[in-house]
Amino acid sequence: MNKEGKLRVSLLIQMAVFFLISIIAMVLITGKISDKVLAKIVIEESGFLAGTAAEGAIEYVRSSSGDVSVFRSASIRDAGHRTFMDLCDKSGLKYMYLYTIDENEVRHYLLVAGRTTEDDELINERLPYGATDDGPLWGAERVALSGDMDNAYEYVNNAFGEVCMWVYPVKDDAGNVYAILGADYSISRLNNLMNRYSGAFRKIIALLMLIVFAIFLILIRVLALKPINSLSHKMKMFVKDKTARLQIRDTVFADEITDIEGSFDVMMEDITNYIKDIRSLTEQRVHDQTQLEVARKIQVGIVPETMSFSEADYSIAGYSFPAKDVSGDFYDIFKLDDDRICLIEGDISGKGITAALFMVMVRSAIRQSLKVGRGVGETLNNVNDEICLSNPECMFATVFAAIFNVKTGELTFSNAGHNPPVIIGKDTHFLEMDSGLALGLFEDASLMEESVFLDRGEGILVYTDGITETINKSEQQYGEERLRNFADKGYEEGKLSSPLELLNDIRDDVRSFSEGLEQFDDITCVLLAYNGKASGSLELARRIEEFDKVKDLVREQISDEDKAKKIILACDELFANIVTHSEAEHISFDWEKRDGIFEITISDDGVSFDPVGSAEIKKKFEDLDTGGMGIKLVKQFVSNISYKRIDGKNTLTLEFEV
Amino acid sequence: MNISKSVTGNQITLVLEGWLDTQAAPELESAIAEIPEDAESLVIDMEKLEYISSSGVRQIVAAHKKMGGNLVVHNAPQGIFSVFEATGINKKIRFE
Repeated sequence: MNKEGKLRVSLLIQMAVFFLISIIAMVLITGKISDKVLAKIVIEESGFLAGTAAEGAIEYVRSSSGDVSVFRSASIRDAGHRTFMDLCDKSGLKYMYLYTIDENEVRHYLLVAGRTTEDDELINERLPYGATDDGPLWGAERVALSGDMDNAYEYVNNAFGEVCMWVYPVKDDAGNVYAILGADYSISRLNNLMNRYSGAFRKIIALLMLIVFAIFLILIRVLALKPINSLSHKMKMFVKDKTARLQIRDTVFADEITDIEGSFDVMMEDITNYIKDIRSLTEQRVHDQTQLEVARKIQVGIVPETMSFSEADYSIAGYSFPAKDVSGDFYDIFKLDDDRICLIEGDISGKGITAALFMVMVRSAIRQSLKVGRGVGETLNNVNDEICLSNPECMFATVFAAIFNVKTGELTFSNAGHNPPVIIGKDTHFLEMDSGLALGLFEDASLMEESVFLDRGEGILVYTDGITETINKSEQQYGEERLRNFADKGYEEGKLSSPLELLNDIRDDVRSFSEGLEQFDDITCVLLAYNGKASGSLELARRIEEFDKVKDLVREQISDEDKAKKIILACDELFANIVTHSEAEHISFDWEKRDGIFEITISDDGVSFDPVGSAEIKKKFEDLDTGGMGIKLVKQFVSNISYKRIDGKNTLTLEFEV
Repeated sequence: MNISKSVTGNQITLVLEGWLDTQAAPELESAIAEIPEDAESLVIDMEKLEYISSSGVRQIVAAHKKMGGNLVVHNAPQGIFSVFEATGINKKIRFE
């Protein structure tokens, strides 16, 4: 079985089967044709035998009398009968008979004989001397009557059997026909004869064809099959070993096979060359790919795919997904100091490794400049001038750079041709700003520094046009409006509290929008959510039950129960003191949570009292039931405590580590 | 807060539960005042006490005084005990 699951039958066998079928068919057909010819030959043969016998018989009749009247004598008839039987025997005739035909066309039988005893008895009984037969004359009889010796025969099938009846005239010296001699040849005998001839003939034809076929097969084998086999073998060798070469045979003539060999030789050389070419091309590609991979690794090290961090006042996240291996987009988020976060996003013209290198340069320059304390406007202008000094590739970058003050909510920014960011909040809108010129285009771009304030709960989304210009199958753009609406929906659903999740939702929405199409541009986003300062204020009446408010606040802000209880204890003691001793009308608790510190400032307008500075009262254990432990406890549990009398108010500031 | 009292012969047991802050301290104060003069010893179980402030501590000291020292505190959780520790009272009162 070969690969396609077909039975493999050698050409030689296929041809042999075909030839055998042809031979059988031909023998059958030629047999049919030859039978007709043979029948004629057999008739002629029988005619010849009958004629020879008839000649003898006629000679005998003529020599005995020359007149039919002699057959009246029984002894003569006996002698004649013996002669006829003898002749029948010699020539294989079935019957021989002598008769006359009178003017009324009635046959008068004179002498009849059969070769076998049965035939002889039958004919002598039916047609004895003197018997007549007035049946219509056969054509052959008429021919004989006219004196013609040849070709006068009839097929007769009667009571004497199926015979070929030859009829001869018996003439006197003057040439007149005075009697007729009949000689019957048995048809079955004729058929036997014919079958013998026919069988021999078929055998000869079959033998001849076999010889021709054998010669033909040998020729095909030598001229075609052997070379094809050898070619097929060499092809198989070539599949295994591409360096194998075809040795062209030395032949007298060029034929179809040598043509194929020639073509195959050319093809083998071509294939070998193709393989060489493909190999070297592949090596080149692997080399290029490796370079890109290295560039990508460097880039990913510099611009992480995703990044996020958060503090009590804000959460920030960013990501960058390149369309090709190496992106021209970048973002950068880092803390400048305790209060300020830098947020930079840019898009470099072009793609690939050149854009990536340019990006690294631009990003580093901006980052360095901001870190040494320059403002965003000054930074972008400086970087622009620097790039313009030497920019042989004429590359440029759109950049949005901002510094956000988490204490005040102020966002100071400068824009160099980047897409306007989205301010997400109750009124989600695009940030209004000077569009600016992309870095690297013109010196003295005079990029402006502007600022806005973010309210508590608001956020800012900076993105590259890879998002808004993403197209779907109907070639529609994702667009600014869709992005704004999506961000707004995220705000409504309260997703701003986890910026990375909202960013991922945006990416998923962009991807489902362009479903079925390859990402055509880099997608980069930064989202800053401003949670506002974690702080607040409580106004309390001078009643001990009011302390429940402080208790609830601390438990709400501090998740660790032990820490919460210590803070509550300290406040409890101080508030109890105020309630008991101060006679204050207003008591307030201001609190703020930042950098792992929970700060509480308690102020009251009561009697001046400094629990921090007051000398510790040493009491005996027995007197402790009257008090004096509260301040001691407070001091044990705060990490910092300070007292000031400001504007007629006792102001105590407590700090707890949380 | 909840205070439950049980008497076994001349021994009285107070089980404190919840927050013993400045607001709740008077409740403990009256519970101690109700202890008859002939009671021999007092056990205060603090297993379910979640919080104590100095006013609470003062009531424990007062009870100690009233019982003439026959006071034992049972099962004080670490957070509660640390308040007694901070005031040095743990040295004078028996904790079991």
